[in-house]
Amino acid sequence: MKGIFQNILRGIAGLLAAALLFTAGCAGTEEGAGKEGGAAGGGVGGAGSETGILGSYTEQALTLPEAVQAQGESSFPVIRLMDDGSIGLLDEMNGLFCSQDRGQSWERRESGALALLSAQSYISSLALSPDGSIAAVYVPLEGETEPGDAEEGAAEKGDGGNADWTPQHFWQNGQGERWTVPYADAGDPLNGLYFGNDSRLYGVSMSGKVWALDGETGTAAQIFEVRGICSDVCFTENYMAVFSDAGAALYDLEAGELKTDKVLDDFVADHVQKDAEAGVRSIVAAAGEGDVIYMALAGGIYRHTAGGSSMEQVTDGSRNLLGNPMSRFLGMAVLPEDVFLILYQGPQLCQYAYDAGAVAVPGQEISIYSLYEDNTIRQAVSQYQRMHPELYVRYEVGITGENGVTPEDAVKNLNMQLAAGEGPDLLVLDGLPEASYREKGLLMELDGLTAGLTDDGGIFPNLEAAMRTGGKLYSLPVRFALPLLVGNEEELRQSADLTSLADMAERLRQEHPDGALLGFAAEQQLLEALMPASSGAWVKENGEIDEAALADFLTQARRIYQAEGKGNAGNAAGQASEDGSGQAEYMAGAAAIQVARGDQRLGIGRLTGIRGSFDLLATLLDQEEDMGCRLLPGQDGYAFIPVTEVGILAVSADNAQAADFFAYLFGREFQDLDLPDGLPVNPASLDALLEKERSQEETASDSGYMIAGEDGDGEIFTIDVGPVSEKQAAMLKQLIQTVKAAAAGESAVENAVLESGPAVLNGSSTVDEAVAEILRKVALYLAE
Amino acid sequence: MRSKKNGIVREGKARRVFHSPLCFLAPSLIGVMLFSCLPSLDVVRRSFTNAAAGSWAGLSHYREVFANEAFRLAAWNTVRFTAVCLPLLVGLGLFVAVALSKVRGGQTIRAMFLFPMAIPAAAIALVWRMVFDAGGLLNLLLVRLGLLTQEARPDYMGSGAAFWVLVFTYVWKNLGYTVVLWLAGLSAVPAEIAEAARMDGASERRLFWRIILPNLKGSLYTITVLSFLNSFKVFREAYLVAGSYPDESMYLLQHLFNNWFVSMDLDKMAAAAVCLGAVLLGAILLLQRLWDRED
Repeated sequence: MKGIFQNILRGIAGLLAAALLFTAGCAGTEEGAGKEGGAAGGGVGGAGSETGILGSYTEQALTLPEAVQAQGESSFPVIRLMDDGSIGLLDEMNGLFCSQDRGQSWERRESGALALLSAQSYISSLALSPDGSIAAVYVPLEGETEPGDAEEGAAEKGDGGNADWTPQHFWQNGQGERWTVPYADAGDPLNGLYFGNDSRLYGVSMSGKVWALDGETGTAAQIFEVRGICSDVCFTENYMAVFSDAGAALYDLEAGELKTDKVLDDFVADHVQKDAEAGVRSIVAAAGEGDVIYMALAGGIYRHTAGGSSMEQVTDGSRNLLGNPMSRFLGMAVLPEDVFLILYQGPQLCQYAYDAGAVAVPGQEISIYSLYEDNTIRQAVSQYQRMHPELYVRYEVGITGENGVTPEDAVKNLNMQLAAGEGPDLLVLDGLPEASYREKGLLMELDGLTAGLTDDGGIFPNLEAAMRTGGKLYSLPVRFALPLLVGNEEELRQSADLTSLADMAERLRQEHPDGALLGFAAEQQLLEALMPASSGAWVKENGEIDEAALADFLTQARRIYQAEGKGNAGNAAGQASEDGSGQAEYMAGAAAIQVARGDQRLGIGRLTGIRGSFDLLATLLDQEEDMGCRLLPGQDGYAFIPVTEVGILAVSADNAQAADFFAYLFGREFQDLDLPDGLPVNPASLDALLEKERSQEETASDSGYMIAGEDGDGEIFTIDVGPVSEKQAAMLKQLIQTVKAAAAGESAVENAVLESGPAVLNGSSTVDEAVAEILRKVALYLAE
Repeated sequence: MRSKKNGIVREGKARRVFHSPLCFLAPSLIGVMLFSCLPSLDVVRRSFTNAAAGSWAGLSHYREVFANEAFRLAAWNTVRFTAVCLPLLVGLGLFVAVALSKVRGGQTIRAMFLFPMAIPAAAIALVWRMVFDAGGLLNLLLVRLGLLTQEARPDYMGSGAAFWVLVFTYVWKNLGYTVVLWLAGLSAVPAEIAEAARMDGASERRLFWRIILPNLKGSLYTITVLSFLNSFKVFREAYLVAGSYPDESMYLLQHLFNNWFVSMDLDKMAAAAVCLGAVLLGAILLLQRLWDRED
């Protein structure tokens, strides 16, 4: 009996051992497959694409009506599937267009009084119903009357009068008859109007109340309320789905009650929040067959059945325009056979259709790593991926903010990958130990690659020269920012270095005993603002700290701070960032506004782009005769701030795709984009951007904009930002050519200065004591 | 025939006896070989090669490490920390254990001593920051008691006092389990021997030095080795309180290794790790030899 029992035990043990071996074998095979895939991805021109899985959604740009396209960024059309199966496109300026051939061609249809309404008012929300009804929320322009009276009252245009900013409503049915929107709560105006599939009209108010509006009976009934700000509404067969920045609500149109859909609500809440953090966009949605809801967001197109328990990803956003951080959704429509149309701001219409022959998982791969999310790289990856569907561009971010990884942990994880030879092909070096990687031979020399960029405009020679170490180039910034000093032109001429800047501050304080000078209320803010042009001078070539330079910096900073006068400072031009980096960013345009309004005598700020940054500065420089700007003087001469500094790993030196992506980053196509993170390093692209801004006056389609603000006394002021003048464009180019150094000081030294420096500025410590403390703090760092 | 058969049977049994322990040992042996021995050998290999290129570097990394000021400081601090903490913890633990063994209902107090082990390192770090900051609770208390003036408040974590804060943290955190180990050792001392000594007129002090302490040698070895190894774990608290670059008095080898890892100085790190491993191995072997000799 005992023997039988032992035999059974042996049998079980044998089976378990076999199972163990089998699973180990499976693991081995999987690992092997992974390695094979990795090798194929790392290699160039391999057969990866031939062996890749076929079948995926492909993106195709469709043509929009010429008149709509010509409106450019100022056009916000809406898209809708019409009753007759055509695609309807409603543009406030050009009316209704329909396409019977899936967006290949468009024919204009009657849109009644919409054109007149558009001419006489500012339309904030536009809706199109399947039967051709049109509704809008609008604010009449100054002196205008109701659109219905417009024909009679046309002569009144421009008569002036008190502006009424109360939103008003426009509703015109499919036959062109005007109806009144039965809603009049001025305290909680409607924010958006939406047509159901049966062409009934619904409105969502500012506070999130959803109203059913009946034009025939002239009644409005509140049916439910949503949290957050509504971004889109879609109607399935039985439900109305409302999407907001706080989640999604599902309303059963038959039963007249809200239906709980936690999957949808959580998904929208998570993704909208995530997108908002990255400064990106919200969601657009459209209904499919039955109660299927399709949603388009940065991650891709997702499918969900109302009330269902799953969320299915239909297409990956990272491989098309959906994942582009600059994309802004306007609308979405679902055609039969699950073909999706997505309308982007621009405007741009893209079709996403399943292609059985398209490669689902590309065999070739290049990978890019950055410590922090980098919008410039995200944009480049998205665009490059669209151009190369046969290639998978993997963008890995070290600190996503979701998993509690610290910068140090992320760098260590990356180092482990690098040590194992499994690192990415390209590194965004911002925040990474670049010097260490360079010294260890991990980074490839880029001279060969940059030589190839010459035909495509090249790179500013002085910027490239500043990035060289020992005559060799290991990294290049994709963009750059300029630290600028703004103030009276005559006075600025006298500040050639940090000492003369301090002299000027003291002189200005003598001449103007009251008011702010630079507007920095806190010691650390001032140190941060002055640092970019000086921190490079604090460490000698042999790696030792230059105590004299450090002492001089603190001395001059103290003089400026004391001149500023504690408690006498005005509004700071910028606010300290909250990401823990300790670096505050002050915008040159904002600093210029402070100076132009007389709130402070001088301003320090960074110039990070053309549109929204330099155009504002240029406008103010043109308007204010005495105002001028120059590069922020410092101990390191005139410096620029590298943004998105990219290097290629030496192990990827033979990877032609990585080299091609690198060339794309610095080529005209990508550099010509006006991105908010920095100016292009390609001189031809800068010229093109400036020319585009300068020629706005002539093209009129994308003219300037107005910014409004409130000063310290509560007074509202506005600035009409116009096109960049030739004089200012030339000034910017001249400034760029003047920079000689990259603001790339040792972060450990900078942090120590930010910790110990404030005590010097406020007089609680001497310069010598602070320098000694800084030396003590960085001694270990330097000794390592 | 019979004897031959018996002989075969005996041989088979012997083989089975030989194989059985191997079967039991194999899983852990394989695990140790794969996850400890092989990586350790790889570290030794890396200490003689350049991390990036993989080329032979000879002893250059070792020379670089010994010439490195940060390494010398960290090594000295680590030795100093171990030299201070080890006797302090072992002695204090024994003292408390002996005292507790004589207290009725000592279970609750023993449990209290184990509390620090249950507190997460991150929480401890937060408390220490609140206590030892220049504007922290300790200075507040001292100012209230009139032992300090408002202007002369020291920054404990930013001065030489940081070392003693670290010592305090280590002892506070590890005292509980040391006491428990000592108590286990004390309970294992045969009561008959102590009773016999008392009958012979031995005083409590004599009883402790001559009877109890010699019987605690085994516990002493275990506690010393464990405390020695645990002294390297105090880095967690030090790192969480003061970051990668603390005051130089509490800059330990683990700080250096951590920072070298971040800056990818893997070759230097490998050389330093080999040196540290050799020192640790030497110290443990020395302890064992001392114990064996005394036995």
